[in-house]
Amino acid sequence: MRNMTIMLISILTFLNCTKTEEVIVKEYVDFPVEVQVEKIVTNTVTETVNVLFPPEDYGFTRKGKSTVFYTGQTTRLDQATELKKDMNDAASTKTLLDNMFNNGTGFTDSSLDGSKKCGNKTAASPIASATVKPLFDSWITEFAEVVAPAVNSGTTASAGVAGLYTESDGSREVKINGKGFEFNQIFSKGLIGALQVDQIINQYLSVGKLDSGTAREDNDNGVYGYALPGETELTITKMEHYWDEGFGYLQGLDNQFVPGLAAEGDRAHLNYYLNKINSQGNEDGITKKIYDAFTLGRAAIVAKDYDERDKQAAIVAAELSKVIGYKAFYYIEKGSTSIAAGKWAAAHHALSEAYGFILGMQFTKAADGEPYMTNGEVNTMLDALAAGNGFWDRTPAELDDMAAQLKAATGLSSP
Amino acid sequence: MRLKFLLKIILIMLFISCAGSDSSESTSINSPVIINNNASSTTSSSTTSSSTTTVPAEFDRGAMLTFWADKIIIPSLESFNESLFQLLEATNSFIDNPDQEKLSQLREKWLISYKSWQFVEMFDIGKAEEIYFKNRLNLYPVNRDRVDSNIDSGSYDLDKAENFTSQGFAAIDYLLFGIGENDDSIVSKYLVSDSSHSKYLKDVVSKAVELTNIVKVDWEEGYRNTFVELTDNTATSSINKLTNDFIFYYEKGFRANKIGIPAGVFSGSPLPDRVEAYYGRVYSRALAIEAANAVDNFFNGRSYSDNEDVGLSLKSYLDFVEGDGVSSKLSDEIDAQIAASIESIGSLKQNFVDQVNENNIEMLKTYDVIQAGVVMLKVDMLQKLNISVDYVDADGD
Repeated sequence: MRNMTIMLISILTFLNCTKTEEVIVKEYVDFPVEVQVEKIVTNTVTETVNVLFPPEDYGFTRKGKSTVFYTGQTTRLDQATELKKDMNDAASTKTLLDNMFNNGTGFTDSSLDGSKKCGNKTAASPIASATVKPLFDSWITEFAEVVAPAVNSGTTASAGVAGLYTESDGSREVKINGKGFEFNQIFSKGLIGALQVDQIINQYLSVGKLDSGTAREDNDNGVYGYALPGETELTITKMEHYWDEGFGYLQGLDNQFVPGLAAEGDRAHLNYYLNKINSQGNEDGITKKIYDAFTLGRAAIVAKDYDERDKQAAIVAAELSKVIGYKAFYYIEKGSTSIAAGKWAAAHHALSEAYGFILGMQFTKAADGEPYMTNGEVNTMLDALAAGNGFWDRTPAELDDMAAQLKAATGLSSP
Repeated sequence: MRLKFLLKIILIMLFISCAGSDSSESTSINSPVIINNNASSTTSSSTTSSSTTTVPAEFDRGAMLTFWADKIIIPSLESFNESLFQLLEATNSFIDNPDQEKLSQLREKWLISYKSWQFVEMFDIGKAEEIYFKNRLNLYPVNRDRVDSNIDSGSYDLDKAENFTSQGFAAIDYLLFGIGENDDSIVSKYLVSDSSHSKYLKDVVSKAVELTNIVKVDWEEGYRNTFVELTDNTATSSINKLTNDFIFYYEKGFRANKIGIPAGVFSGSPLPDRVEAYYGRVYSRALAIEAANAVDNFFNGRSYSDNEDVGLSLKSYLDFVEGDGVSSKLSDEIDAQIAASIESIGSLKQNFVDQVNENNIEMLKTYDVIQAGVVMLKVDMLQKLNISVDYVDADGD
C-alpha cells in the first residue's frame, strides 16, 4: 500500500496538472474514494473549457446572432465630424451649431438628425466637471457671433482682432478670434477628451456604470435588457451593452472586427489619433493592445469574471489616455516651432489643437487610476495659454516650458 | 483508510497547487494565455465571488436601524409636524385678518417649516413612499398656471397627481411671495371677502398637515417596528432601502434639484426659475444648507434633537467593514466631501436666481463638489457595504 501511494504521488507530481485528468481518473477506479475525487478534478476541467478561447476579434454572438451594437455612438461621431466642419464655416449660424450640438438636428446628412446628440454626453460622466460643457457652448457662440462675422466682413485677424489670417506663403488660412483660437480645432479636439475619452473611461467602462442598478445581477443570471436594432427579442445584457457602447465611442466609425482605421473611417477623432500614436515610433501596437483589451474585457463579461473585466478596463483607460497626453505636448511643441519660424497660421492651428487636447487631460485615467491633470490644473494651463492676446502673446520659451509640464504630468516623452 | 486519507491530501494539494499557479500567472495581463487563467480564476472564485464583502455579524444592524428610527426619522417628522401646525396657525390668523405684519409672520413660519422639511425629505420609505409624500410637499417649480386656475375655479382635488405641482412648499411660496408685485398687492388678494386665495392657501397648508400626520402616525404606530426588524441584507430590507433613499436624495433632491437643474447641468443653459423657493428669492441658499446638514447628520448618525448624541450610522458601518487596516478611511473622505459641499454652498449668493444669472460658473463648481460625493456614496460606499442600487439613472444611451 505504501509503495502504491508513493508511486501515485510521483505520478501525480510528475504529470502536469492541466493535462492529466484522464490518467488520474483511471488510477482511482480501484479505490473507494475516487468518486469524490473524480468530481473535483472533472469540475475544474469542465469550467475551464467553457471560456477557454480568447476571442480573435470583437465579435460576440448569442444563439447565432450578434450581441454587439453601438449605433448611437457611430451617430454621435458622425455628428462630431460635421460639427468640426461647420465650426469652421463662416456661413454657420449659432442656431445651426447649437441645434447640431445640443438638439441633434440640422445635419447635412439628415440621417444624423434624431434623438442622439453630442451635447448631453459632453463632460457628462460622474467625475466630469460641470464647468466643461458650457465651454463648448461658449465656443459655438463666439465662433458664430464673433469670428464668422469678422471673416465675412473681410477682416484680417491680428492680435486682439478676430478674422481670417493667411500664412505669408499662402500655405494655411485660419479663422480665429482675437486670441488666435481656431474654434473648430478647439471644439473637435476638446470632444475627443470630453466626449469620447470621458464616455469610454469614466462612464461606460467604469464599475459604477457596468454594475449600476441590477446590471451585475442580471449579467450573472442571464437577464437580457437590450435587443439588437430591428429585433424585438432581448438577447443582450445591460452590462454587455454598456461595454459595447464604450467600444463604439472609439471604434464607431471603423471596423468592429479589425483594429485600426477602416477605409472610409475615422479621420478626425480619437481612433484617428490613436493610430497616429501607433505609428509614431515608440508605441508600436497600442492600437491592437486597446482593441484586445476591449475584446478580452467583453469576453470576461460573458464569463462573469468581473475582476478580469476591470483589469481590461484599466488597460483601455491607461492606453487611451496616452493619446490625449502625447497629442497635448506634441501640438504645444509644434506651436512653439511655428512661432519661432514666424508661421502664425500654423501656430494658431497647432495651439488650438493643443488647447483642445489639454482640456481633455482631466478626463484621462493613468495606470494609477488618476487623471494626468485635475480640472483645476487644466484650467490653470488653459488660462496661461489664453492670457493677454492669447496665442499671439506666447513665446517659444513659454510653450516649451508648458510641454515639459505636460510630459511630467503624463510620464510620456516624444518619440 | 490511511491510503484514502493520503490520497485526499495528495489530491487536495494537487488541486491547490494548480489553482495557486494559475492565479499567480493571472497577474500577467493581456498575454495570449489570458483566458485560460481567466477560466481558472473563474472556477476558483465562483465559490467565493458572491461574498466580496461579507456582512460582519458583529456590526449591530438592528441597533443602527433603531437609532435611525428613534433618534433621527421619528423626531425629525415630529418636529416637522409641529412646524406645520404653527404654519397652519399663522395661516389662519393671516387669512382671518390679512395685513403686512401677519404676512411677515406667516412667511417666517413657512421658512421654519420649509427648513425643517429638509430633514424629512430623504426618508422616502413606508407610508411616505406610498403616498408620494415628497412629491406632494416639495415638487418645484410650482405649476403657477395650475395654481391660478385652481384658485379661479375653486374646484380642485389636491389628492390627484395632476395637482402635485400645485401644492406643497412651492405653491405656498408662490401664494406668499409671487401673486402680487409687492406686499400690498399680495395682502390685497386675501382681503377680499370669501377670498379664493385664502381658501387655496388654507387648503394647501391643511393638506400638508394631513399628509405629514399620516406619515408620522404610521411610524409611531407600527411601521417603526417593521422597519427596525428588517435587518437582513436584501433589496427589501430596511438598511438597503433607506441607504438607497439617502443616496437618491443626495443625488436628486439635493444635488440635481437644488443646484444642478438651475445651473443648467442637464439642460445646456441655466434655468434660474427652477430654484427652490423661487418666489421668495432669498431662501434658496439657506434651504440647500439645511439639506446638506441633514445629509451630514444622517451619514454620521447624529440624533435629530441633539447633534452631540451620536449613534450607529453609515459612517460607523463603513468603518467597521473597512477595518483598521486602511490607510485612508472612505468615511473620512465622504465627511470631507460633505463639509466641502456645505462650504461651497455657503460661498454662493443667498439667492440662487442671482447666482445663476450673474455667475453660473460658481454654481457649477458647487455642483462638482457635491457630485464628487455621489461617486463616493453610490459606488464606493455601496460596494463596501454590499448594497445594490435600487434605482437606475435615466441616462441610457
